[in-house]
Amino acid sequence: MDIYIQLALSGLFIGGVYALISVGLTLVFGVLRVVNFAHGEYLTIAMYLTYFMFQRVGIDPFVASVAVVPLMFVLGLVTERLLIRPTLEAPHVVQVFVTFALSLLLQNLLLTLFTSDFRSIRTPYATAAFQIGPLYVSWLRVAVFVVALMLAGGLAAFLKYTYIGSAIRATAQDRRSARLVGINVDQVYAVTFALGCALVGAAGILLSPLFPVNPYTGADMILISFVVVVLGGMGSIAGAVVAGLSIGIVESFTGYFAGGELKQLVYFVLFMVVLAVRPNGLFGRKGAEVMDVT
Amino acid sequence: MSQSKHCLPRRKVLGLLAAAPVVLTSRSVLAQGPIKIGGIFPLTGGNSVFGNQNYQGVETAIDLVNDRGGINGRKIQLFKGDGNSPQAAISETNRLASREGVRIFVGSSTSAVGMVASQEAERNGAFYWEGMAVANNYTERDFKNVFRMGLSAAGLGQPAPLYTAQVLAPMLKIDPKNLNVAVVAEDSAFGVDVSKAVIDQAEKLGIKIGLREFYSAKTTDLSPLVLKLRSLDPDMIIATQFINDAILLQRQMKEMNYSPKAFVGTSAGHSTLSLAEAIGKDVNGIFSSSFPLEANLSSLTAEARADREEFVKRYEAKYKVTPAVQESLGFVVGVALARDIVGRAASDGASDLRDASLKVDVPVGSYINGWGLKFDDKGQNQRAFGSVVQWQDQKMMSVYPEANKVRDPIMVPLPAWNAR
Repeated sequence: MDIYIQLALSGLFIGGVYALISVGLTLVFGVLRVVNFAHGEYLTIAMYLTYFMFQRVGIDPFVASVAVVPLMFVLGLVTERLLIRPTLEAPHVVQVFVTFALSLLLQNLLLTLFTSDFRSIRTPYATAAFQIGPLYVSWLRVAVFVVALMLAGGLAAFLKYTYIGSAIRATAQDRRSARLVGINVDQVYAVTFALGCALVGAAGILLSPLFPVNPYTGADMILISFVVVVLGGMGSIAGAVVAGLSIGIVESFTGYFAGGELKQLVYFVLFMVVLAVRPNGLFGRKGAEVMDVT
Repeated sequence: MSQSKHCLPRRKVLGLLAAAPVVLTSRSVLAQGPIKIGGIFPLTGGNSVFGNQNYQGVETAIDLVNDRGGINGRKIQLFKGDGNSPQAAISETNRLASREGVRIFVGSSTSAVGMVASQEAERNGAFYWEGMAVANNYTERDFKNVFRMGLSAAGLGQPAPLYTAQVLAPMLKIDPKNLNVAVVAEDSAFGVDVSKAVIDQAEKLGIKIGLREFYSAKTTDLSPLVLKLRSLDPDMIIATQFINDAILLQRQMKEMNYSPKAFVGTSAGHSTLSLAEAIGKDVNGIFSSSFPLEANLSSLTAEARADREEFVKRYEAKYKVTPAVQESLGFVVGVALARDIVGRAASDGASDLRDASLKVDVPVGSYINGWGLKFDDKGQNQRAFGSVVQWQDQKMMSVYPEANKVRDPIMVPLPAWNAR
């Protein structure tokens, strides 16, 4: 029995990481209907920022979030203004090319600046764990999990209870009507995109003590985020959280009982089955036009 | 007008005649231009850490040969080809061959890149010098002009079980035949081939393989593997991993307070400084069966000792880091190609380079890692061997074989995590 609980805990913790990376991606898609292929590179940038603040100035990653999250928000604003906004009315394929090109550009820029070496933050708490009976629980993974849920909950509350949140939801539902009722849609787009970057920035900070970073770290991690976003329903924050946690748990049990090389096979099969039954994902609605914040 | 005015004095004529060969030679050297070598390595992308380390080692070797006067007065010009994927390796090999006129290639950090780049070189009638790709079937393709100086997967993996049986088992006071070993590996060709070599060798030695487990190197969670290891409780683990997953496994074993009595990696992730940077003192005690890092100085020729000193000095000056296994391998491969193949061949054409390769007979101890050079008829170097290093005080130290040994092994069995 212990092993099942331990596996479920491990799955939940890594699922929290997947959810955290995916929330920003699904938000941007839900509102702007842009699939941001450079999302992973923003994760990488946040991890590098955290790394250098730790390494050069000695600032703990959790403290560094005070600077890194706003920086990522600003980076999101700039990207939206320069690259995303001019392509919003263009066919989808143009946005795909733009964000994909941005992803390659950022990867190679980071490669030029920092080389391909893996860089790691070494904190005393990174591998600290506590024991409950036969179970081992990592403090840091618990923290990542809790913060991921808090951020997702906070985002849902922000969208539901604030004026700008309502404006974002209105724009997600129908951008023309939103404009008609006086919502500054351009501003909503900018804030949403920047919020997506800030969220993935927060994910980068939390992952820094757990994983080493090199220019391709984000790209490696982002594939699973696309699965999470589609499985949860594109645009659905609750969907991203549920799908992230589910994939984490499926991976964990598959890894133990069927072997590590079958982990991806099993969750991709599950993914296809879910999409066959519910083509819009677990929480998505027809056409993925509506963002669910419940 | 007297005739004598039109005649050159005899001394001048003799002088000009004497100088003629020099003038002709230098003209022919100029006419021939530099010797072009193309380096095909993954310089960007997922394997670029190793690709850059290998390339920089080769570059240091070529710089050194050039600074010592080049090859018969001709300088070597090294071209970069970024084989960040098999497709890119093909196009870069063709680009360097057709646009730059490169007829000599060196590579390639990974088997996926090396297999296709060498095939393209062969198709172009060029010469390919392999240093790092370990795929067992690399030299089984009946190519004429492809030679592998480095190890096969078998050569890379075998020292792990050999060292286990000869050294670790006695230190653990367990008969090798009663030793229970878990073999874990990432699931690309590298992990599959090397772990197979490990298992084949272990079985020959009577060592029991209690678990063979594969996973994707891009995984973000190895806790199910750690739980499986904990429940099976093997005496030791032999692991074939890249960097990211090697770090992750050590961290998650520590989180779950699990440790085997000994941990032996097989190169890649366990023979790179990134591992020590990521896990600090926890790295101490880990072994890695690997390309040799260094040789016992007494086993090296005087020239190799001088090369070693020069290599470390130049590498540290240029790249600001101390070279480790992959950098040293790049250097050895570059020096051997330039000095002992191109330098001894009748010309820099592929067939002359092939002849020089088949004839070459460089004794063991002639390169900084202790290797020599002598090819079998398939183009595999018979004087390359694997070694075992151990992390001690967060530095890699050679512990096996005797010719490479600079330290005795410590921390067997592995102490608790906080005592490393």
